[in-house]
Amino acid sequence: MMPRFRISLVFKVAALTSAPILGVMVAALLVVNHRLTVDVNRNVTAGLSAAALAFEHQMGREGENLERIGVVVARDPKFFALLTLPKSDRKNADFHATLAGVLQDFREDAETPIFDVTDADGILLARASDPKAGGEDLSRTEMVGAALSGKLSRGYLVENGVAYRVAVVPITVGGALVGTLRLGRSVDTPLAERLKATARSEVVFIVNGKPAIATSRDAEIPTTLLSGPVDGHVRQVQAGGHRYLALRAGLSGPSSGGAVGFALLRSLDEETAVLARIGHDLYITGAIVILLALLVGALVSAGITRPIRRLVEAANAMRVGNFDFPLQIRSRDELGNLASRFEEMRAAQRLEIQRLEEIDRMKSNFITIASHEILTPVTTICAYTDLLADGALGSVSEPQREAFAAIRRGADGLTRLAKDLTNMTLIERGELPLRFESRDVARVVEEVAVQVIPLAAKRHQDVAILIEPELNHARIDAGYLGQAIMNLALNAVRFTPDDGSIEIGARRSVNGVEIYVSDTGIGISSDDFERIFTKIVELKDVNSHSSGTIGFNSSGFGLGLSIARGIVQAHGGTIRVESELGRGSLFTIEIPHPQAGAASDPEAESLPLAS
Amino acid sequence: MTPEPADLDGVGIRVLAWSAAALLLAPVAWAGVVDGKVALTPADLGFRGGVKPNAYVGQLSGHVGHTGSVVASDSVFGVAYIADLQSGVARPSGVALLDQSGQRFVPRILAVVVGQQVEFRNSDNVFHNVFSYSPPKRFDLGRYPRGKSKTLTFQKSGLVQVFCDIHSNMRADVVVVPNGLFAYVNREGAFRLEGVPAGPHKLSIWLPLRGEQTLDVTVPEHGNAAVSITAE
Repeated sequence: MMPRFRISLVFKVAALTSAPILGVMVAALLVVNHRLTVDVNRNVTAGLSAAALAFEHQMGREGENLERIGVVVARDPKFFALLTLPKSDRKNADFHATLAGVLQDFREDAETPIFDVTDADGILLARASDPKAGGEDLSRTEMVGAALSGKLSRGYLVENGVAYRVAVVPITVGGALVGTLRLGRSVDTPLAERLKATARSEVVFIVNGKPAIATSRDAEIPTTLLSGPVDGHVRQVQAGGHRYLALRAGLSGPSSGGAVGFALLRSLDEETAVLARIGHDLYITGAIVILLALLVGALVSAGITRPIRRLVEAANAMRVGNFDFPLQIRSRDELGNLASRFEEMRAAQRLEIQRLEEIDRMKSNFITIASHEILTPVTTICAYTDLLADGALGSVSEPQREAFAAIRRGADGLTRLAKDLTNMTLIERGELPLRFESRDVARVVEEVAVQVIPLAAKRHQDVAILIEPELNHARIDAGYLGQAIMNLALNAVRFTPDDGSIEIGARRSVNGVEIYVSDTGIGISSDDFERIFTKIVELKDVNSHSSGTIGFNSSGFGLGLSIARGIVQAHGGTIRVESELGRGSLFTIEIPHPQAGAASDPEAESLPLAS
Repeated sequence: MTPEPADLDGVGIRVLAWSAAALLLAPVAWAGVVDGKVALTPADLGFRGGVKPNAYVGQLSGHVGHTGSVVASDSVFGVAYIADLQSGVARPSGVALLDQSGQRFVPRILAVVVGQQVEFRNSDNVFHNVFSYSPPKRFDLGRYPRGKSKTLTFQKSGLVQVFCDIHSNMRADVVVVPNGLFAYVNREGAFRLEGVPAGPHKLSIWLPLRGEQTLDVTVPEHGNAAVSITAE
């Protein structure tokens, strides 16, 4: 009961202390985690959009580079000088051979697979990649058309399923347009790899709706992405069991021969890996903080409840007579005040108890001395009464003899009373002079029974003696234990009507030996089972037994059961009663075996008997 | 105004040729004069286009360039010559000079007779590299510095476009004519051919933007033949 209370208080205080910390911490963690998740997701999405912009920018740079090369080439006299030749000079084969040679030279320098030259009307004059090409009218294509009107133009060209980044520049000489130059580089894997580095994404070029070049080797291109809208919006797609953030967009600028677009893919798992790491850290942090909060709560709780625990322990110590349990409470708060009051009350109670003990000791001393002082004259009375009754001091008439016998019975009663009181006092002080020896319990019971039988016979009571054979010896003081049994037996005779029956027995029990006395007497109310063993002197009817017998239902000073219990307890045993009013009573003494009982312990013999 | 591309078909050419006696049967014993007048458009006059002289020319050496020569060459806007005579009234044909000065070819337009030599001189403080892709004379003189010259002989008639490989704005046109009967068209569009044998001839007129056009002209035994070319 007490430990539960203590844990309960500690727990309550700890919970109250920790709960706010825990609550705030958990709430903070949840909020931080939520904010991080939202932010990271937003950043990831924004990052891919930004990557798309960077991608477009890079593709624009590629176009600008082509333009720059084109402008440089177009300004080169050895390049444009051919185009200034009058038409009449272009007809011969020499011109075309020269043109082809010049184009080849310049293409090598420009490092562009697409290297096409048109005249001022947009008619293809030559392709560096194809000596046979020529004559085709390109003026209607958007980029060449723009260049023919003097504007730089860049876009895309799809030929045979291959996409080219293309720039077309006008060639002007002395302010006059003499032709156009179309330069193009294929959209190939190295470009995609460069763009992958720029965009930090897997790059897929989509030509005419089909993936043409891709940096992603292991991941399939999600079909949902290919069939989805070309809107540059970031969306989540699944491919090959992985989640991706993806974006599909067209490439800005005119495109001839087919549509060129691109897709960017980022592994969502990788993008959110940082989130997982942060989450992991947060959980660890949270766990540490929770442990710290619990620890702080426990420490605070222990600190607060320690004085209360000390008070509780001190109170418990008082119950077993220890008034010196150190409180060790030095706080100057309410608890300190409570501890001071407790100390004062404890001191007062200790004084009170000491006073009562003193009174009790004085009473015992008085009884001891009084008993002794009574015995001395009673012994004299007994001796002279016997002399008188025997006629040693002169002849005695029959009425005188009877009077002497009555005097003698009264003196015997006084002697018994004085001995009872002495024994009672010794029991209370724990000073009963027991001498333990290994004795046959059966013999002790028999001796008592033998003494009881004549008394019972006078009352016409049957006495049955039932002793189990081969009872073990026990370490007992045969005299005192016999007296205890005798007290029970005398009570049985006293409270059993004439012609009743009494049974005295001994038998083995689980722990040792049981000695019992049962009767068919008036019985005891169960309310009185405890009270009858106390030393309350009940002077119900001081019968002086004129008949020389123990009168039915007569009472003495009522110390018999108290003394019996004191003796049994001094043996480490127990005494118990079962009874029913009007039917009889059963008193049972149990003496434990020496090895199993406390009686074997010499220390136990001198233990205080106060219960 | 942007220069219009040369388009001979778009230009109506009216030839007015007349003689005082209106005689067509005269033998070639006499020589006459052809006076021509070309209606030059602003485009024809501005054929050099927007090419600006290099602002840095001469700054390293303090050399300003051959201003006089430039001015002289700027007064030439075309070449007129008699196309149907292989030889004949021959002028003394020395070595013609095509200078490179101030990062320009001087003169911008040079007419030489077939077989005549042209000296390509570099008067600039920078290297030049003269070349041409034109069928009558394809050449590439390579780079050479100031003060050095290279000389070529032009054996075929026709237009030779001359460029510098280093300086893309440098340009010259060498009109190789079959004989000495040629004249430059001046700023007013006028030209005069003297000593032309009487009789019918092919008169070719070459303008930088319009190219070459040929027309018939009859030179009288006495007096002048007047030719007028207009752009409608």
